[in-house]
Amino acid sequence: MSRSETASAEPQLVRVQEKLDVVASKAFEAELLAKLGAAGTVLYVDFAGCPYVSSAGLRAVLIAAKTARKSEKKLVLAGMNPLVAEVFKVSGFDRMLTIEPDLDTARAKHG
Amino acid sequence: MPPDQRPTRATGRAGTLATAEAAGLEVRIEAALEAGRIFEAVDLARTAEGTVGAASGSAAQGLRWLAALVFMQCGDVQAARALADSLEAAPRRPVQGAGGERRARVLEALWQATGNRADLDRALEVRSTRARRGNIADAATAALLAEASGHTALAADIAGSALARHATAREPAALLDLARLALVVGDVPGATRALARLARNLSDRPFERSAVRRALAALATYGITVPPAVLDSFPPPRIVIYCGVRDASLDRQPAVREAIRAELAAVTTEIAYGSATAGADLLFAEAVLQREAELNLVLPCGIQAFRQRLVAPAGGAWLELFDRVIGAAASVTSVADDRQGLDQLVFEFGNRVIDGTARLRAERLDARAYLIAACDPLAESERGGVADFIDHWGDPARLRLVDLDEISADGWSETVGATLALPAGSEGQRIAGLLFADVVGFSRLDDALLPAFWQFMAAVANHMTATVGRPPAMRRSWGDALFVLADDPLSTADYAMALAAAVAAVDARAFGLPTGMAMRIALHAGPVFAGRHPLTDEAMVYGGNVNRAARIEPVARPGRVLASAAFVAWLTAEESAAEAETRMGGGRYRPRYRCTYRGIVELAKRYGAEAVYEVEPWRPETPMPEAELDHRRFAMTLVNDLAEHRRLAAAFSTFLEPWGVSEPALAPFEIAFDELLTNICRYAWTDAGQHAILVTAVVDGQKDNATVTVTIEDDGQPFDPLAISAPSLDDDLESRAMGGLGIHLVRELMDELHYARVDSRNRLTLKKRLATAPPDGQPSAAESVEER
Repeated sequence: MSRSETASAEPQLVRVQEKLDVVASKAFEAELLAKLGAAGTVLYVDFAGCPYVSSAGLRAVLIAAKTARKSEKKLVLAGMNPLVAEVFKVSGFDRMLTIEPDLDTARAKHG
Repeated sequence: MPPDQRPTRATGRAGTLATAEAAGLEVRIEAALEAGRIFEAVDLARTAEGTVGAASGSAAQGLRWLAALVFMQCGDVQAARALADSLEAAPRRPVQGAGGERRARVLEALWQATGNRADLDRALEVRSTRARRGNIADAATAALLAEASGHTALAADIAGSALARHATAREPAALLDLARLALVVGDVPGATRALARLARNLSDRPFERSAVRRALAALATYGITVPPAVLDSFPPPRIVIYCGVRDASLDRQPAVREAIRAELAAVTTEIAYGSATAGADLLFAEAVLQREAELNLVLPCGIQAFRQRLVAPAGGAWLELFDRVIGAAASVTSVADDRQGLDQLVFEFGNRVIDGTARLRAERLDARAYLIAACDPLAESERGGVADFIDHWGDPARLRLVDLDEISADGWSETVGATLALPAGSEGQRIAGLLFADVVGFSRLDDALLPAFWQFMAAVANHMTATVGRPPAMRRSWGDALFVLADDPLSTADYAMALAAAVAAVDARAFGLPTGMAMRIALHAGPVFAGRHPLTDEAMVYGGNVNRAARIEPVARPGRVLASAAFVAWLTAEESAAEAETRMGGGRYRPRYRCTYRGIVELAKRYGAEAVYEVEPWRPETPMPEAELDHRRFAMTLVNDLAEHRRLAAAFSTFLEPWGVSEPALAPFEIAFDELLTNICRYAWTDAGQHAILVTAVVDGQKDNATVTVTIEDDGQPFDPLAISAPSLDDDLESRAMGGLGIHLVRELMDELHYARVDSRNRLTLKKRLATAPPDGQPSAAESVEER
C-alpha cells in the first residue's frame, strides 16, 4: 500500500518499497500500466526499497515492458539489490530489459 | 444506534501509587477473573496501567504482571507482549510469591501463543528457581519447560528430585503433578499409578475430570505424548440435548417417565440442555434433576410468558413441576423477552440455540453431545418441532429416540396438545442476525479530517465488494455507527469479517488520517420486530434483542468481532448442520468460523450479563504449536489463501533466528514459499472451500554449516509442479511467454527440489544450505545462488 501512495506524486516514476510477492504484484502491475498510459516517454521503476521479487512481480514487469514497446515508450529499471538482480538474471530478463544500477544513473542516461 | 455507552476508564496520573490503591485494584481484578467477568478485568487492568505508570515498587510490578495476565486471557497477545517486554526490562523482576507466579504464567502463555524462544527460556528460569523451594506444581512446570526447550538433562534432574521429595503426595492437584513429573522422566507406569488414584477421586466430578483430561492433552505442546489408555480413564462429561412433544397427557403415563429415565441413564447423562414445555420436555428436565445432573434451560421467551403460554394451559400439576425445574436448573436462558410473539419460527430458533449451546459446551469440555428425542415418529412435523430438530441434527450415531407411539397406552392427546399449539409465524416479527459497529477514535477526529474519513470509508466499501457476495437484508448508518441485519448467521458473520478485514487492509495514513483506525464490531441474534418508521417511512427493526446487540458493541476490542452466546450458538448449529449434510454427501466440510469464549460482560441496566465470544475465520488445528518447536524442528498449518505465505515467512524467520540467518538470506525461502503455495492454491483443489497445507522443516548440521529441509504437503489432486517445463530464457521480449517462471526461480534459488505423491497427498521437499552473515557483514544470499 505504501508504495503506490508515495510514488503517485511523480508520474514518470514507480518506487517499489515492499516485497513484490503474489499479493503485492497486482497493485504494482496496475500502477505500472496506469503510468505507462500517462504522458512522457520514459517510465523509471526504482527497486531500491524492494527486498525481493517473485515470479508474480516479474510477470508484472514483463507485461509493462511489452505495453511500453507497443506504445513506443521506454521502461527503465534501477536500484536492484543483489537478490533482485539475481532473480532478473536467472529468468533471462536482464537481457530483454534496460537495467541501471541506481535511479540517478538511469535519469542521467535516459532522461 | 449504539448508545453513548463506553466503559469508564480512570484517568491516568503520574507518580507512584499508594500501596493501598494497588492492593485495591489487585483484589478487584482477581475477583473479576474469578467470576469470569474478563472484560471488567481488562478495564481494571488498563486502569492499573494508567495509574501505576512506570512505578517500580514490587506492589506495582505485581499488579502490572497481573494486568499482562488479564490481557493474555482475553486474547490480546499484543498488549500482553508490550507490557511483558517493558516489565522484563526492569532491573528487578519478581520470581517468588504471587508476582513470580503471574510472571511465569504470562511468559508461558506468550511462548505457547507465539513460539518465542526467549519467553520459554525466561519462564524456565522463573519456574526452576521457584521449584527449589519445594513446590511440586512449580517443579512439574519447570521440568516440562526444560523438556520443551531441549534441556533434557535439566528436566530429568528437576523431575527426579521433585519425585523423591513428593513421593507420598495424595491430594488431587499433587497427583496430577506427580504424573507429569513421572512422564518427563519416562516413567509411564508411575504416571499411570498416580493418575489411576486421581481418576478414582474424580469419578463423580465430571468437570474436574475434564480439566485433568485437557491438562494431559496439553502435554503434547511440551513434546510429551500421553498413552490413550491413560486419557480414557478421564472420560469427558456426557452431554445430552433433549427435546420432546408438547403433550400434557404424558404425566398420566408412568411408562413414558420410565422410558425417559432409562434413555438418560443409558448415556450416563451428566449435563443436559433443553426447554421446559408441558409434555416430554418437562419430564426430561425432571429426570435430569433426579439424576443430580446439571440442567440448562433455553426458553424461546421470558420465564413468565413461557409459564403462562406453554405450561399453565396443561394444568396445575405441570405448573408445579415447571416451577420446581426452573428453581433447580443450573442456568435458564431466554432468547427473547416477553414482548416478542411466540410462534414456530421462534421455537425453531430456540432449538438452534439449544443445539449450538450444547455443542459449544461439549467442545470446551472435549466431549460430544447426544440428542434424545421423545416423539411420535408418525406425527406431523412443524417448524420448531421434534422432527424438525432431528432432521437438523444430522448425527444418527448420537441420536436416541423415545418412541411415544409404542410406549403410550392412550396415544397422542389431541385435545390438550391443541391448547399448546403455536402459530406458524407472527405478523411483523422476524429472526435476525444483528451487527452493530462503530469506528474507534471517530469522535476524536478533527472536523477538517471528516472528508478524508469518508474517502477512507469509500475505500473500505470498495474493498468489501470483492469479498461480500449477497448484500445483507438491511443496512443503516448514523455517523460512523453502522447497523446491519441479515437473515442467517453465516451471512451475518461473513459481513462482519469482510468489514473488519477491509478496515485493516486500507491504510488510513494514505488519506491523512491517524494510524490505527479500527472498528468495534458486535454480533447478536434473535427475534426482532420489523416495520416502517411512521415519520420517515424507512424500514426499521426494534425490540429487546436490538438493544442487547447495541450494548455488546462498546465492549468489543478494536478490529475484533465480539458475539453474544445466542449468536454463536446459532452459528454453531448452522455450521454443524452444514457439516452433517456435507458428510452425508460423501464430502468433508471445512468450518468457516472459530468462536473463542471470552467471558461474561455486565450489560447496562436491565440487560443483565451476557456471555461473549470472539469470532474469527477458522484456521485448521495445528498438530503442534505454530512456529518454533525447538531449534531444529518447525511445523505450521496454512490454509489455501494467497496471502498465507507471508504468515509462513514470518514464522519461519523467527524459527531460523537462533541459527544466525541474515534477513537477505531468508528471501530465497520467501520467494520459494510464495511460488509453491501460489501453485498449490491455484491447482490443488477445484472447489472454492478452505483446505489445509502443512509445512514442516528440519535443520541439520551445526550453526556455521547447517542445511534446512522444508516439506510442503497438501491433500489436493495430484499435481507435480516440477513437471512444468522451464521457460525458454533466450526468447526476446515480444515472444516471451509468462508460464513456468515461478518453478524455474525456485529451482535456481534452492539447492534441491523434489516432488512425491504420498498417501494421496502432494509432497514437495526443498533443501538449502543456510547462509549465515559473513564477518564483513555482507549478506551472502546472492552469492549462495551464484555458487551453483
